[in-house]
Amino acid sequence: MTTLKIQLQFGGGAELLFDKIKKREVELPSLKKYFPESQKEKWTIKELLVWMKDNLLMERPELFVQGDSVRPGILVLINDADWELYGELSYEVQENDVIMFISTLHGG
Amino acid sequence: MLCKKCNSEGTLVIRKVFFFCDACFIANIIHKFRACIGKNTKFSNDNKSLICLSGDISSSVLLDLVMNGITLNTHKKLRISPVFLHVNGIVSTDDSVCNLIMNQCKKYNVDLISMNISSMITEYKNDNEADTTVKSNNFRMPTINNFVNKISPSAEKDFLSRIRQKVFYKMAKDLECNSIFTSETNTKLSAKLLSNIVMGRGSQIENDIGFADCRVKDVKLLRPMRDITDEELNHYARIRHLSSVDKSVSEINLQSLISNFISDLELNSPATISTICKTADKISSADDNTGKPCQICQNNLKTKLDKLTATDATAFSKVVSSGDYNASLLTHDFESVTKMEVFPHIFEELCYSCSKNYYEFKTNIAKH
Amino acid sequence: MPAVPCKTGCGKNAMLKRPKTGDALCKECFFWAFETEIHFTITKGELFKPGDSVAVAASGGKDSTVLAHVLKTLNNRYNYGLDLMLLSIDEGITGYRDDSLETVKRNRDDYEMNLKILSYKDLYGWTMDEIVAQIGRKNNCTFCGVFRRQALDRGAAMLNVKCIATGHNADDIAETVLMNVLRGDIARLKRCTAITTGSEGTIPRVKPLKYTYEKEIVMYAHYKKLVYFSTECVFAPNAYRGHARALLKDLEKIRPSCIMDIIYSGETLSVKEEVSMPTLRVCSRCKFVSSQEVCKACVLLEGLNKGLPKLGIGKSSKAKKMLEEYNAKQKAEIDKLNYEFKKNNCVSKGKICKSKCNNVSNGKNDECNDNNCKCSTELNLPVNPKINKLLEEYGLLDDNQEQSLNQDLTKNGNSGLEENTCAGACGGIDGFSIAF
Repeated sequence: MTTLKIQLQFGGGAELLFDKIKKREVELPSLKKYFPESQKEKWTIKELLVWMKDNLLMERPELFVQGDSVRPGILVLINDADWELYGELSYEVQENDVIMFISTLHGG
Repeated sequence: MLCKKCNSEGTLVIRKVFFFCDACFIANIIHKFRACIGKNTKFSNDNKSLICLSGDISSSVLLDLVMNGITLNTHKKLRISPVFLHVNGIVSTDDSVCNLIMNQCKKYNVDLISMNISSMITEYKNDNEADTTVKSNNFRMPTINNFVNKISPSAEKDFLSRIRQKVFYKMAKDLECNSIFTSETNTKLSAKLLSNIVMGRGSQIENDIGFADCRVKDVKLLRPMRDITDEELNHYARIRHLSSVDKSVSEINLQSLISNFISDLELNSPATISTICKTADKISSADDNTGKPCQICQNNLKTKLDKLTATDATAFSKVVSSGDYNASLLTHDFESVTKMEVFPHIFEELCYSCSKNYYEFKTNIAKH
Repeated sequence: MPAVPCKTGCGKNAMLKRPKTGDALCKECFFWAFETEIHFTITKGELFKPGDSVAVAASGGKDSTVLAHVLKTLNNRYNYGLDLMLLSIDEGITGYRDDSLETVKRNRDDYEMNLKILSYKDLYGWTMDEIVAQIGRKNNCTFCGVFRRQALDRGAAMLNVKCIATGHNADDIAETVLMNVLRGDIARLKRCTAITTGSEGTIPRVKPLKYTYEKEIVMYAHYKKLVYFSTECVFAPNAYRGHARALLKDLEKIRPSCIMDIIYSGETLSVKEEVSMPTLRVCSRCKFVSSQEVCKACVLLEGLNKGLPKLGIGKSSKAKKMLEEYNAKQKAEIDKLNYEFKKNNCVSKGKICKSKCNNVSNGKNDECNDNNCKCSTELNLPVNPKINKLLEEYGLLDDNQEQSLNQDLTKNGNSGLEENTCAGACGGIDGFSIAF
């Protein structure tokens, strides 16, 4: 039951929802500890989003999540690649992964 | 709160604004129905009309309105001789729906023609192979079930509504009816308009959403309930004790998303649906009706096109993404060769949207 | 999850899935496809002619930054022979545009293009901050959009360019189609999918990114490490939550190709002949294109300057009524003054009449327009020196008006919950969509 170290990045205005911090290192507890009910062994993006909502997102969560996924219009990159190529919510998060969220919703 | 017509005790409220008593409300709906027909068509006494029933609430109300209309003895009598039709088994065969409609018709003492779509399929050759290899213009439709199993829910919903309509026309011709009544309310039609736009059927709006669809010679498809909202529908069915089957299924497709969106919007700004429907009245199909129709949806294949459209852009995108690009594609031969890849039979046998559905089918066959 | 190979067969791993076709490409192949498609749009749509001077409408946002970058690249690669420059509009919104203009300046340096910044203050005498102080937050986006639209035309005329290229992407256009359906705007519904807009005598606008998905624009900017500015307009924090936009993003999630389908719908639908469509002509005041005798910008401006900031909001018939009322009131006041003068036998014979007029107007703040009598009364000026100055210029002052203006301000000040109209008007794409 070890922890999982990953990096989260935010861009395109998504950082405005996360204290305007564009990069942060986070350490996820073991999945069983955080979700005792879970049948899974490993963190996927789906659980990561819940964890982020609980621990990082302080206000207006509806601007970041919709249902159990991200709000449509926010792009997710896993190690700089489109998450749509990696199973989206079901991608199993690996140690040292860089997960990036870029909003396309912000004008400019 | 008093009824806005007769000042007696109001029993229901429409759009949080108007109060009605039951009697005035029913009279109002009957009037709307009659006015909609009267405004738009003249029937002679021998007009045979095909009334299409599906078992849902709008169909139950349509049946009731038609029966009310033809049994009147005043000058407002609806001068049609109705033929009631139920087409079953487009996707699944559900006996409960059949039985319900059968009982409804028994109650009014009218005959019902109940048929299964499989009896119609003979028209579409049993062609499981499809034409994945032959690049000819001899478009052949695969069987309905085979087709819908290999396309997305949104395309399926779109496709089935086209097929259903095609069956209505065929039956009208076989039964020598010169008009068809369907039970779409303005709530449904506004959602249908947006769905049309979203599926790339913008040029087909006039016939798909307007009161009358006159594409087919000798048979007019009419939507006499287009001035009635779903809210009114529910009140009407409740007051008149009409039974119906609840077909609410939580599918994820574009059409259901749009329906939900519209009803949410209507809650906050009640003019939404009527605004959308009014827009439909201003859109024309604009193309001459002499051309060849799409093999699936019967819409005209010839639409006026600019030098560059979304069709070209999508086809070009497909080419550059596949690595087959060479500079000559920027010139004319791009048109004929590549467009057919992504849009099979487009403008030859199928319209843009049906061609897209067909492409989905073809690529999914290729995968398996 | 195994890596997906690039669709082109180049041997590298794919980095993104293209929403238009569903194909997966690696970075290099994506760059090339992305740029070549825009090249295709430009050539096939005949957007430019060799030698044209083109103003790129630059806001510092993702769309205009990518547009400037790609146009620069393609101009060199395919020898378009275009003279490209950047055109920026400074609305005067503290904390918003001043930051994004820094981004535009960076674009200027990076892409070595000339940059022209035009401010609302220069063009109209008002900054957005000042306008918001007048109108409140409810309708300010109307002002911003209308003014910006004309500002681009004016700027382009000053730069003497052949056309203006805007950063509207496929998502923006699809969203505008949906929005125009929802609000029943048939004229704009037909117009909004045109790749080139602008009638005769005006500078045409072109949309080279018309078929380019927002997702790809953002990915392109990210992979190319382009610097762009992304924040919400401080006056329209909810702008991007426009209904149409939310719907479109949900639809795109289910069926990404629907954005192209919506555009195709817009391109192929036609309006019934019997439906009357507004004809475009030239504004009788400022000579820029308009669908009315007097263009919206002039009406809004007149409203601001006359202290009737709501003048241009809503239907033009309403504006006309307001103006008529305003003029009638003015006339009544003048008539009353004239009557008083006559009663008091004030015949000044071309000389300035002081004493009696003072008595008559009695602090009413009405400037007498009678040719025979120029009253230089001690005016009871409103508190805001800005309005003061403008009202003075236009010779329009009266008590009631000032009062109603103050009422307006308080009313708007109190209603913080009022829905922001920008959600519909500019939908988070920087207000440009009003230009459709």
